[in-house]
Amino acid sequence: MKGYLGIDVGSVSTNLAILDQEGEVICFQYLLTHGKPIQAVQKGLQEVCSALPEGLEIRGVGTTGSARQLTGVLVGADVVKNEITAHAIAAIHFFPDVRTVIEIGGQDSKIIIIRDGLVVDFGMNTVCAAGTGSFLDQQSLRLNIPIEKFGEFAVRSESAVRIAGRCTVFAESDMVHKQQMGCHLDDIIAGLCEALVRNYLNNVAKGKDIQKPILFQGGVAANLGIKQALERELGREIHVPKYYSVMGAIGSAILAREKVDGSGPSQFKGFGIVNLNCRTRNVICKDCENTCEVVEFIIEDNPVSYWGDRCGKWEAQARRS
Amino acid sequence: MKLTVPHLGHMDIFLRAMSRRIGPEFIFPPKTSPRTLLLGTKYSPESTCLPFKFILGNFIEALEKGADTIAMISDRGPCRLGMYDVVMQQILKDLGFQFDWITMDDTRLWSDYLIRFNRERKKRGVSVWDTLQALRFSWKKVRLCEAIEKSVHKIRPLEVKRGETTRVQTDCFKLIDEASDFRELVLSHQQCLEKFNRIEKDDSRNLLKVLITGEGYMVINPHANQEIERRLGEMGVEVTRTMWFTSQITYALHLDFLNPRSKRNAIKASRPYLKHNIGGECSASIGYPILYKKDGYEGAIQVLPLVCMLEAVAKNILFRVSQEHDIPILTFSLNENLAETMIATRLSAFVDLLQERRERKKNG
Repeated sequence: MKGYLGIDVGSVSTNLAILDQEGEVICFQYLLTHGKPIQAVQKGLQEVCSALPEGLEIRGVGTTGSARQLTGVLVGADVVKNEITAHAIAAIHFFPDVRTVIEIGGQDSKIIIIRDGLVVDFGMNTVCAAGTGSFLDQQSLRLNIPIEKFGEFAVRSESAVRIAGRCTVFAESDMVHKQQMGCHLDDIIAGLCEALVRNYLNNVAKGKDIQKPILFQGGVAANLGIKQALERELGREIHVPKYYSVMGAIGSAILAREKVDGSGPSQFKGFGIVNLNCRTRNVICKDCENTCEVVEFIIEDNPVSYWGDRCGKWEAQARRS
Repeated sequence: MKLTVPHLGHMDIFLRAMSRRIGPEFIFPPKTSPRTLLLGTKYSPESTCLPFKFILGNFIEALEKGADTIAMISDRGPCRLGMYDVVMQQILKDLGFQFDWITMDDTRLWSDYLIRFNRERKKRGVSVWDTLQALRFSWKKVRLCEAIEKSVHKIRPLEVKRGETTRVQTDCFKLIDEASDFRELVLSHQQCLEKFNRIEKDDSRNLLKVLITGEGYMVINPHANQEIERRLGEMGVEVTRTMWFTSQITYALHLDFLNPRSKRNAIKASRPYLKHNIGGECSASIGYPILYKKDGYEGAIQVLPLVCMLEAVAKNILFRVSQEHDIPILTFSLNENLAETMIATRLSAFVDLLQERRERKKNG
């Protein structure tokens, strides 16, 4: 049986998914990156390996996420793609008629506009991380409410209080103020969800032509409060796909299948890499005034790859050795 | 007098050539580096635009190197650029530097400049003939550099070894800069052509074409736009940009009537969307994508400083332009908090989008 592996390594979470030849999800894994992408990938691979059915052979690997390049070198990827493309592909795979994808992740958020199965426009937040999953995590910690229960509070609220949405610092101080005034926690959390949605629609989604069907994915899609706030603001129904938290990984697996089918063997290094000692080393190249920060990737004490140089000579060095 | 100017495209090659022939003495700022930006950001108000910070950094580094006179442009606005020279002078004085200042002010008449220039020329005992020859020589150098850049735009996306074309470009600029007369320049030109011919290319690639437009400083300076031309080239995309040293001069002298893709025509093309000239490159940024779509450019990227009012106006109008002329437009608003992966990710997604569009159009 042929399987295709997709790995999405983001700043907050690392996701893996394995699809079969028909594009059905065989298994998936969602874990936290915790600042160590290499370890997270190795751990994820270990977990996924043990859940694999007998006789499944990985025939293609795709990586995405902000650590896609590093992960691609680590596992031997056949395709390395940005997360906008990966999320779009996954959305279209499950819902061919989708026209809008709203994705709110740990530290970034995106909107992808799709027409007739083709990405025609996208937006990504750049300057600020307010209105993303990390902020919700922060508040859940402060209020001592598990993030999975957050949505329940918001849904119970009958009248949300208004919370400043522009900046996480101001939002938090606003929330504290409202709670100290005696406002109900349900209403405060509902207000927080609305603030996040307002921020999203005013920044990332500004000027974009949002049409249904609308898909809501990313880790934050689990939050019912956010989903409802989005539906209220947009005045339209929103769908959360079954595999909402690993869509990036699914998209990469689909891309891997497209790439490899017909073009030959996969570059996948095999699950054995979970046992290898993989690490990176930073080198500041002083050969010119660019002073590029070059990353050296080392497997079992052998430098295997370099990247981060503008002129390409470090990359070329790896090719030669 | 040890004169300095900001780094702006190939202006230093032009001025160095002039200076070697007829003076004055220039002390150019060191090549713009992370230190330049650090200095500029440290001593600038936070809400000034990125070009201000780079230019201030240039001036500080040039003064450190021994320059004693600064030449800076100014205009009547409405863009804040009109205030820059006044603000920069104050900042530099507060930092304890001593210097003279020359404002290149576009509210003055051309005749004003000619008269002043002529006075300087006579003072130094430089003949009109030598001046014209020097201008001719320097202009030729810049035109050659620009021709090289245009070749790089076409060849870099075809290169087999990443970085080879960029290295050749750097070598060629150096060769041209070092040529001290017309004869040497011809030889340098020859050498450049040979270098280009030796680049290993894969001609079978079917390249996407993308236009880079937006605010002038951001478009023409790789250090300000995150080397967007190089990145796109290395992704296999043929690019062109809308800001060139020579095109700005020909526009100012009203000598660009033969160019169908001139700034004048771009401004004309923007009139259905914006009837007034609000300054800077605003109208041109709106009109250029419309013009270049006719040349088969499949997408455009607008680069601007984060707080640029003019380009923000253009940005919002470009939403409509993008829809009505069916050309995807991506906008980068940049400031000194330059997030590397963000640029790479969005460029990559944009290139994917254009690629898919093309496939879709081909398959009917």
